[in-house]
Amino acid sequence: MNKRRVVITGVGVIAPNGIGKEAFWRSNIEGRSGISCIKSFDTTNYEIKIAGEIHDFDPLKYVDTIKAKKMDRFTLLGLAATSMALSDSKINLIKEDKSKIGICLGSGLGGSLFHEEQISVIIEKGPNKANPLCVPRISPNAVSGNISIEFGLMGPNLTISTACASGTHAIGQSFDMIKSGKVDILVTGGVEAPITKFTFAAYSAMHVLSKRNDMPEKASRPFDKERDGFVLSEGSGIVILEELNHALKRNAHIYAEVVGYGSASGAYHMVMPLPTGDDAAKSMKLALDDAEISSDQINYINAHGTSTQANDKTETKAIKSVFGDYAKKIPISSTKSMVGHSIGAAGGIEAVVCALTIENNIIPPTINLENSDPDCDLDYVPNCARKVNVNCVLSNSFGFGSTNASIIIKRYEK
Amino acid sequence: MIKKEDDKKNILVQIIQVLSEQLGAGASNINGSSLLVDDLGMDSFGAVELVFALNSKFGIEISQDDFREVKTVSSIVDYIALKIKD
Repeated sequence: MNKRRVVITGVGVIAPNGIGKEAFWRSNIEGRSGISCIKSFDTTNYEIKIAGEIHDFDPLKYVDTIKAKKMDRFTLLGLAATSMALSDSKINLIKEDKSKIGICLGSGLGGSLFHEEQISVIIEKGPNKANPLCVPRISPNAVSGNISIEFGLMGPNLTISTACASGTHAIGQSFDMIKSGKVDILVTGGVEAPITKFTFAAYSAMHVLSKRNDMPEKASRPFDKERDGFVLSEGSGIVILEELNHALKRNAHIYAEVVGYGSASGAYHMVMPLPTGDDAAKSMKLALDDAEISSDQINYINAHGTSTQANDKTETKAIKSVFGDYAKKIPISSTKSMVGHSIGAAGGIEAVVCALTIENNIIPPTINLENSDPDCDLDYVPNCARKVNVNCVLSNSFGFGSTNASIIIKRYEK
Repeated sequence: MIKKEDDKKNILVQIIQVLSEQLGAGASNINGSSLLVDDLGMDSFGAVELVFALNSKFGIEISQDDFREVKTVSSIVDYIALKIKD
């Protein structure tokens, strides 16, 4: 039996710097930041007052009012991006065998907005005032469950929660499931809606967020010497993964092929990355082995690049250990410089960037890279997009909990 | 919060509003004789959601056990009118 190949046939994205693939891509190649002052809650007593907040998202364009009222914001974002991706893929859901179509999404935090609203209600008014929709709205898999119900998808119905690596793990696991023959099509990627009072206080308490409140657009500055933490953001990035022959039979547009997936743990610390970067390096190496390609075939890396001192230094070290001298020749950029860090959504949004990079042969920049850091001495495509032929891309995501994921996406060739 | 002098007609209008928000059925299709299960397709979790919504709307405490006997929209009206009197 021939090896089953897996291709990307649809993308959908909602990000702070653009809703929909056209607006999002334009912002990315123009180096436009989506970071601004938080509007959704009063930040008076908060040390951090900036985020990648999406101000013009209207869920009612994608789902009716009655259903929308029963969903947390993270589900609405995921459902909307899925709706975009399915429509982009032109899959005819009426004709397809929906038992062979599933969902596998990443979310680090689930329905945190409704969760904290309900905790306030219960503390103020008593336990018997809990809304009966608490569990179905708050659970991390509320997003995959609602997508399954909305589109009638009856294959696997999964949510993967590995913090900042959730989206990339979801795509990697989806790639494996299609390759193994368990399913033909998966809606995959990630989603997060963390701009809530509790979540902000919680991340702030870890001292991992940028304090540049006075210049939000300059706050996320991966690989810059003056970086002072990441900027929390919300959004969703969805890709439709499809078995190649299934895609060819219906003349689908193929953005690119997913060819490799690696995942490894540092078994080290819940927050700090392993200082040697060996676990991140292992994740990248496993993805290269899985793809059966040599490291010099990679011509772009979409870095995890969070803008924390620890991550960017360690990721650079890990890339050098995998690629050796060739590391200096690979363009590397961080989508988070413009979007911020959307936790479980990041890997999904970045996979959309990778697909569009291959499709357009343009590498989006790392913005705000103004001061060089001796510990970050690779080519991070500073501040301006680069027009260059890109055939093979590596995308990294590393999460709290010592968890790492890497995927490899390649130009589709017969 | 509804006042005691509110009549049953007023209660009915508010219940129809709660039901149409919950079930998505046009309010014009719901009337006093509508059967919750057979006409409005309400399942057991729908009944849990309805009791929660009615308690919030009318500021009362309906128990889920009492509500099991309720079959029609007008019987909810009667039940709530009685609760408000109490």
